[in-house]
Amino acid sequence: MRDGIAVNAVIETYSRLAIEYGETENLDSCWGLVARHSLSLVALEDKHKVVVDVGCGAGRDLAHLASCYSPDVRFIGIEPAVNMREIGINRTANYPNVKVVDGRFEKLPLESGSVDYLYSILAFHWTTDLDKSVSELARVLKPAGEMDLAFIGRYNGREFIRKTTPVFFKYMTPAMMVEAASLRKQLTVEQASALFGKAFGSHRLSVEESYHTYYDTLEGHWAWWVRIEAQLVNIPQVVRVECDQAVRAAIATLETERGIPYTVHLLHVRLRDT
Amino acid sequence: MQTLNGVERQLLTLVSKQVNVAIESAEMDLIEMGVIDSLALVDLLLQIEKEFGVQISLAELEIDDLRSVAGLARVIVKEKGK
Repeated sequence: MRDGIAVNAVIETYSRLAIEYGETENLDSCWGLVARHSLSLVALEDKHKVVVDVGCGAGRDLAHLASCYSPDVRFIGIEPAVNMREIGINRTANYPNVKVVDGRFEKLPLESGSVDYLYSILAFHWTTDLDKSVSELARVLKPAGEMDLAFIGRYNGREFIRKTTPVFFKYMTPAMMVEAASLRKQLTVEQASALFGKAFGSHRLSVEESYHTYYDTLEGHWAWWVRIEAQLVNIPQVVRVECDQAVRAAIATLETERGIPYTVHLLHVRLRDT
Repeated sequence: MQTLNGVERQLLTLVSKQVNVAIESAEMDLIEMGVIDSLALVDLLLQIEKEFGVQISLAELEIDDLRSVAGLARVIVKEKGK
């Protein structure tokens, strides 16, 4: 336990794999493209003086934004995985207006009503408590604060899931499958609208969903497997290699002339001052 | 007490609605069909517990219990009989 919240497998695993996560193959994979698309949704304006990135990982986006905007803007990155955070601190060391600190959606280390603009890229689905997290977001934002969150939706990666679930059921018990599923919160657009609408009302809020199919080679897709490792840590090591081979074989059956498809279901929660 | 066939009939409707696919037979393999994934499994078990008033013990569940409506129905009848 830390700060009364159990340290979860996702945080532990992201910390353990912080270096692998930053490898070019992962960053160039479809998830790297999704992350870059999500960054394009970030809409900083001159009025934003305190900007927060929740789940900033290794600080790539923070460093990029700090290089593009005035040094008067105070950037705060929040990242619970210690090794990710260390990389983020080093990466942003040349920007005195950037600070990377420990924290998470469920417990943001920020004063109430202190944030002008908050964004998060591909992190919100890892929260352990949806209501508490949204309540924290509402707490830290100024009354006219703005926000962009991009995270995966309920129907993400259907092609892969359809092929890999029968494989995982061979190597994981139903209890392990349920535990793995409980690590991520994948919402429908309706569920996300209801969740955020409760905290922020509907006049300033919009929730949009998008589907985009990315084609890649088997190796290209395998490069981002590091992102879901936390859900697989309970598979006994003695069968892990066999399981990986079976998963790869299952994914390979999806091959088309354009490559192996993977459809990302992305939700974008957007809060603007009207 | 509800019979196995009665539970199967009720469960066919529930599972079809839950996974948005018409499940025509209690013996259909939901896993091989790609109907059940881990997220769907969590949702389905919650719905089963709610609708049938049972507490399903995850630790006792076997993969074959989840393969079909028939398997799930047997789990429900067993839990109801406890």
